[in-house]
Amino acid sequence: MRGLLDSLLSLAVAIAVGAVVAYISGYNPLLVYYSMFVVPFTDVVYVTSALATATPIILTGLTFALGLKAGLFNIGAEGQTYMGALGAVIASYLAASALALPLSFVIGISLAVAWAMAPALLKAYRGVNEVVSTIMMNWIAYWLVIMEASTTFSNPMQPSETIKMPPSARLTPLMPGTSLTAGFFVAVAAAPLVYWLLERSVIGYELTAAGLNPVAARIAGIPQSRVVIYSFLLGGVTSGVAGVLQVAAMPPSYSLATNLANVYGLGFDGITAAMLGRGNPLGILLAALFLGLMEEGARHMQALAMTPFEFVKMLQGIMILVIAVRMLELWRRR
Amino acid sequence: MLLTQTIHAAIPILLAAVGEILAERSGVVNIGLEGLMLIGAFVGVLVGDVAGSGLIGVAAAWAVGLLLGLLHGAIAVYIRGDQLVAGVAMNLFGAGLVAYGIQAVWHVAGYRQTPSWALVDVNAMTVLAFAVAGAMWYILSRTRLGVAIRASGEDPEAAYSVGIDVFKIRLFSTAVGASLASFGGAYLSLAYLSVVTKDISAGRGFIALADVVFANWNPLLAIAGALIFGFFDALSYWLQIFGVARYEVTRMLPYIATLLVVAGVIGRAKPPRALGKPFRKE
Amino acid sequence: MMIVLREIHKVFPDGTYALRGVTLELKAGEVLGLLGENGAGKTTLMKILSGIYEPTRGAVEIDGRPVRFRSARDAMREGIAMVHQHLSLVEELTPLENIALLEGPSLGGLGKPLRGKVEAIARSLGFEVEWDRPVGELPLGVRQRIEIVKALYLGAKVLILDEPTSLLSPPEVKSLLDIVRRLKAEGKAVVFITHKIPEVLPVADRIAVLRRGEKVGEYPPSVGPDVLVEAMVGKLKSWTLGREGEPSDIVLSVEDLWVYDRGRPLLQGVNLSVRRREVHALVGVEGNGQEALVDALVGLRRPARGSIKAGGLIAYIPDDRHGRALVLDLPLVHNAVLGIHRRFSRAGLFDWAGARRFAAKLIEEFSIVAPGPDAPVRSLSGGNQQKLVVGRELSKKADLLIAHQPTRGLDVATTEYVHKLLVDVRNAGAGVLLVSSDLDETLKLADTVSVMYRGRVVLNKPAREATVEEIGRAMAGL
Repeated sequence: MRGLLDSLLSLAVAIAVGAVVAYISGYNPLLVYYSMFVVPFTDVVYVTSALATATPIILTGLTFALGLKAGLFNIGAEGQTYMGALGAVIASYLAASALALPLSFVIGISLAVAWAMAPALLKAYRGVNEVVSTIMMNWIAYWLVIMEASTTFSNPMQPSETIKMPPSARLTPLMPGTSLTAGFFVAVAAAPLVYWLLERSVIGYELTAAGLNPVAARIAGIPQSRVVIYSFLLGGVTSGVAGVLQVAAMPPSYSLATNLANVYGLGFDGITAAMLGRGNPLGILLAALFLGLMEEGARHMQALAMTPFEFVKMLQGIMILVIAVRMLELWRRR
Repeated sequence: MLLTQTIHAAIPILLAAVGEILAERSGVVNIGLEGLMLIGAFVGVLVGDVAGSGLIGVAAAWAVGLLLGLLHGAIAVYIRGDQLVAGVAMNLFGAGLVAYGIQAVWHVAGYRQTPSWALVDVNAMTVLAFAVAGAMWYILSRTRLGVAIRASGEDPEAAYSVGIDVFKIRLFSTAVGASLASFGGAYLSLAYLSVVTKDISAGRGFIALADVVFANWNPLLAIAGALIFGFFDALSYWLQIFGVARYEVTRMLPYIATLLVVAGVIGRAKPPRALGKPFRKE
Repeated sequence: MMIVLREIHKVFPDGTYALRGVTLELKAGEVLGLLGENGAGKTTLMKILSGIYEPTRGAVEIDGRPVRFRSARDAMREGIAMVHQHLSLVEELTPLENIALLEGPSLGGLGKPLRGKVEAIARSLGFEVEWDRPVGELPLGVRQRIEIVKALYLGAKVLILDEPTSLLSPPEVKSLLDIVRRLKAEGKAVVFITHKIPEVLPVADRIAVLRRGEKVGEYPPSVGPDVLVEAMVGKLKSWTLGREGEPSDIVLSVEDLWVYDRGRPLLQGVNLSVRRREVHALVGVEGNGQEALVDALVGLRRPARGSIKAGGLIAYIPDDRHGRALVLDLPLVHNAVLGIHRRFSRAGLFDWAGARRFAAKLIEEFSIVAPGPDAPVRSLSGGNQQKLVVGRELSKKADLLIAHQPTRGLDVATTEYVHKLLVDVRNAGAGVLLVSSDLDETLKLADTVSVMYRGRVVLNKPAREATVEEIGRAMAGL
């Protein structure tokens, strides 16, 4: 409950600061916020678009949260998502039928997990700080996927995209004319699933204990290597799914943009969602929905208030900054 | 010349790393270097453009970094919160602010050339950066201030018990450290690349973190580390020019190099004992 | 110079009432012994005198003038310095740098003027120090001397030594007492805080005894140890420790064990064995390898050479329960099953109902004071937390129990209880490796005694054949 109040407070501060910044930059703050928070609810197309935007963020948020729970700082969701998307593209290349869908998940998740395993093994067996290693992996993935997308898998008819997902393998919109697919339900199901895993399984207990006191956990027979590997593995799965969905469930193009536009920034949005949601899977779900709303609103803000899209990114940054201050102030009073 | 380019490429990493060495030696970890660099690059061009002088732009970037460092320091030292989370917040905030700012101020999408009157001589900045590294080494190892800083990072209880104000030392070190990171950012936009983009830092803030470990928290060794990374950074442009390898592969090299170096070096590196642990008086 | 601590009360933010109206006087050129058990308030009282704490009520007076210390620096300015039990030297810095810290964070250097001063002080007290090696590499006796030099460097007229001998070997204790006499001769006032009567008797002019935050009385040393013990501890009831059965098969065998830490050898060819129905006590001044040995036995350190063979399950009561045995932010039930949690696994899922029942059983069996299995373990008192840890480890019914300082920081009643439990474990057929720096506890419980010095086992004898002198000499490397 206190966590929710914190998040609301940070939102309030961000809105206030944002209003000042917008005004100074020559934009109308009332119009900005109206288009961001009210307009999306005026049409079902907008609402479903917001939900579709939230879908991958739920998953990448879970990746970061799984790390936090284990006492780790896994900021590799960005790169793992790229690899997941690449997996979907590879599957489309290999199978021209409905088979491409399950194959996408298999290849995408495997690639994402492999990408997560590198920093995990480095941390587990060489003690390499995961902050640095995951960021490096993100950038390597960035260039690798761009390279593959623009060469091997590029679409001859539309060079700014990769080849498309075979039509029978696509996840189609639930309502015609909207962008919301079954992928949303996959993501929404993932959050309580992760929560359940952490609370009810033995490995969840081990991760939780080790995250809070790694020395006591080690003595109790929970080696740090197991903790790192499981945490990163599960995180890689969720980000991999996010990446796959960004291709297989992305109407109308069902392909990966060669500048990675459909996956860029999702990892960091996930971190934002995880922080707003206090690292709690159900909180992350709510936070991701909220972020989806904000980003959908930002598109309208661009059109109606002429404000650059990045304004919403700055708002999110302020929110996290305030959370980092406020939430930790409460921590101090324990 | 590859050598000069290596040195020039190494500077932003060196500055951020030396700054972070100062902060970490006092016991505070700031992973928000990436955000600080971005903000420094942006503020540098913005102020330098408006004021008509690159030097004023650099000074402004340095000052903004100092203020943000005070904020991070306050969070770490007085509120005693999770320093890693605060650092991530700094990165997110920096990225958002700069992306928005470039659009809002110059009405261009993510890329702005630095006007010629705001440029700063890259060689002068290079010399300055080396001087800063040398001065930092001297202060940390040969002065009483340095002893106080190191004590705050190794054993703050002991330091406090002999009257060292650990809080002020950590706040000061974090602030100055952050100012060097934003200074490095200004170098990127005003001296080295002559442009400001929404991701001009390209991971350099994190490479600087790797350099800190590589250097075993010694500012002089940080020079060596920065040069290694600078080499790969410069190399990627050369490989492109000579068409030896694909563009994307050359861009991957600095990150792969960092990863390998960091993987190889851990084990012999000894961080300050109280790094990242908030200090309580009673 | 005359210092008076007048009607000092101290209540801590968590509600602990540490001092209840203590009044104490101190004069120049005298040695005051301050005696009391763990938790009596001696250290708290002296921390008030040395400026680290402020009294909740009451005042400190110097020559009749009330003074208020807001920090240790304030007290140092009046010439009052405290040498703590856990030395406040920064290990990564050299002794010279540690003293330079006292001069504050200026841009001044670390050169000759500083060095000259400290060398002169050391010489006046009759010893030498290696000023340029990191403190972490110097023996504990030397580190203590550096602390004393530090205090005198700032012009201390009053030196408070908090349990100064707890980490020293017998010959080092002798040197320390000589230094105390020299300080007295130079006109300083010395407060000697301890719970070890034989050490304070030869050197004190006057002995004040604290118990549970109150001053019980002041005595001249001639009053004798028995009076002092009764003042310290009140009336004690002790359990009779019945030993049943003799040691049988070997349950732990350590052979030629070498452990290194960053190039330094912590264990140099240790040989040790523990048998069933044996309490094998491992004694030695802290830092001679016992911690490294325990770390190696529980898997926290990897041996470079040698072997460890354990015939069965190992239970471990660590010396640092907060750091090693408990996860403070988790509820009691989570902590109750830590280490045996796999027993509650049902195809990967956690049987929480079963875990709760187990926790409730522990609470009852070991008289743990807690609201219930879901209570946050952080809210339990230290004694109850230790009981939880002991109970949990005992429930493993292990073949080998490693008890590392199991009664440190516990009150007398809980200590007796834990001792009884350890003997019960032994009698039931397990082997107990008791690592303790408390010689009384050791001799009370042990079947066999081994002494560690500088990473080696230098003495190994059945307890009934070993004398205190022998053990003391072995601890000092003689």
